Amino acid sequence: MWGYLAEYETPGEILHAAEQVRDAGFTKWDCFTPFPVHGLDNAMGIRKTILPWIVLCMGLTGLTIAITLQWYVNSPYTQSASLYVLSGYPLTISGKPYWSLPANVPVMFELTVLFSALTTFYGLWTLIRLPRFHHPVFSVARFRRVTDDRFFLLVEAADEKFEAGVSRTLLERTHPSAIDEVKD
Amino acid sequence: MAHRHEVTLQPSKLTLGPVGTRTGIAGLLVGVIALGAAALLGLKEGPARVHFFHSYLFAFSVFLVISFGSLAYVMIHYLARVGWSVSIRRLAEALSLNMFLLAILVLPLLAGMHDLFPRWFDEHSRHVDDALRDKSGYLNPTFFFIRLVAYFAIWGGLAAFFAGKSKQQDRTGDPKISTLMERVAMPGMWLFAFSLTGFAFDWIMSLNPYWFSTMFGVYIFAGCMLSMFATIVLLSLFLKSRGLIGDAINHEHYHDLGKWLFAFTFFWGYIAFGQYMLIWYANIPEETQFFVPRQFGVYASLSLLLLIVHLVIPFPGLISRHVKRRNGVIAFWAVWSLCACIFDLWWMIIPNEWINQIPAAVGHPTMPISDALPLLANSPTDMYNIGARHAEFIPVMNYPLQPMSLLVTALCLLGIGGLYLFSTMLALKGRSLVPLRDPRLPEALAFENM
Repeated sequence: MWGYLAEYETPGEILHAAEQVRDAGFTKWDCFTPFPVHGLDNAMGIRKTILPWIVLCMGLTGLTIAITLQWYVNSPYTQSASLYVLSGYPLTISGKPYWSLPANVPVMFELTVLFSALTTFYGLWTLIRLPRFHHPVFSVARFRRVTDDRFFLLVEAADEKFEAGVSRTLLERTHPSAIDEVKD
Repeated sequence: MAHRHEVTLQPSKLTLGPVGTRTGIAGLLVGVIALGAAALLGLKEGPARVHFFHSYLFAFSVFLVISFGSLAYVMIHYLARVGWSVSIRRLAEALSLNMFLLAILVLPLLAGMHDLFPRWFDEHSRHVDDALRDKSGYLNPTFFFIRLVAYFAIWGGLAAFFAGKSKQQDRTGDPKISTLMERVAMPGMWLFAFSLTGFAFDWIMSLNPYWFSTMFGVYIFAGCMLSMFATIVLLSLFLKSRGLIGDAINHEHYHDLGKWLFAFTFFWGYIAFGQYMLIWYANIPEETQFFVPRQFGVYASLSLLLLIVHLVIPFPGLISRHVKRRNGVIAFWAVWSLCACIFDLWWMIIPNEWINQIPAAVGHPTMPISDALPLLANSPTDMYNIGARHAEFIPVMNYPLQPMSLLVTALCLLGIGGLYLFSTMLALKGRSLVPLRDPRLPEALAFENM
């Protein structure tokens, strides 16, 4: 058995059920709803994501790369013959200094945004473990209505607190309209 | 146990009552006294008079810009059929109704047209100069006043329409009123965009009639929205601190208002830098004449300070979710943003009182400002140092920063601010603080950030 899937008919019911499962100390469980339900995050006791901090770090990385890149390619030729290969490509453009910050700001902005946006996108996918092509809940026929008018709560058998009979009783006490066993 | 919150309106908290009367009268008194004192100190001949009118225009713009933002916000509200902010909208409507006060407060400026616009306002100086002669089809007193009347007709008309219909909906609860306002908001937004740009060009950009920037209207717009959101945060927190409104405006709304503050802080930075960079790298004298005088002496530090105060500090300051959800912290950043907007307008308007005198200072009173700048500077290659030949210009340049001049500027700001507060309280007085029967109000009350 992979877990229990409880079905509810209203957002209020699943909110109430989520609070009970949360207070029972479960960690490997999830809710599925056809639309965002206000207050469900709190009812499930979901911790804040670390994604913003990852994005901040990568944004600053992008900024640093942009500054370094532009500083390097605009650096004047070195006098030393052996280091000549390391010198950049200094160009005089409308009498500006080789290294003048205003001209570099657009690239700094763009690389910061690019790194942040890509990190947000791929970071989110990584954190929520996508892509995956199949999930055991799809074996329950009833689950199809999750995109329409039913609310589901899944408790995984892999959870430390999970005991087949006890967990089923816990879910039954939340008055679901149905409970299904999810098979692998 | 965290439950989702349920907000119910408390009708007793939705009328302004004695708080409004007290605040309004205090505002009126402060306004009249401060403006009177400013006029007494400022209306002398010479630089004091020029400074007074620039200060008055600056203070007038600060508050006009808040009403601009409010009017735009009310229209955007209907255009986008916004749900979350219905409970905030009444405050924006009241602020936009201040257009009628501002239509009166613009009148004293008409006495100072020669002090504000010495280069294009009178026929004679307009015709000694090719550039201004070519612009005189637009920049001439007759057309200027026609435009001014048209602007206030548009702004007053739109503000009265939206605030009036919304009040009517409080009585009838008719959802058709909302759809009518949605239809009017679209052409209204067009009119607003053009008239806002027109105002920015007429009253602020033409202080130096040789300079132009197509980005200028958008630049002013960024300031409009930022100062309006800051004002709404402060006004609603003030009313809440007096026990009004209740939970109809709660931390979920402040969270979103905080997002707006953040967005327009950055939008301002984007616009301001875009304008600066294009002018900087093209390096054409008639465009750089806006920035070059603002890099003379003390003004160089002030320009950098503007960048820091308006963008560098509030950007990281407003980024966090926790900042936006605490009333005290968001109030701090609202005050900060408002001050940044005020400083921005000061920086745009006030230096013109001496920039217009540069040609006379270098001995060529009829010369365009961009031609006179290199003569004032140490040398054409060192534009930012005023040379020994023109050291006497430094006190002229620093005149707006003298304690007495700063006092006049502050009194103007305080004076118009007091009257603005009075007018806001007057506008809120006759109506419920929340649009009671707006069909989207339940959406705003149930609003929650995910």
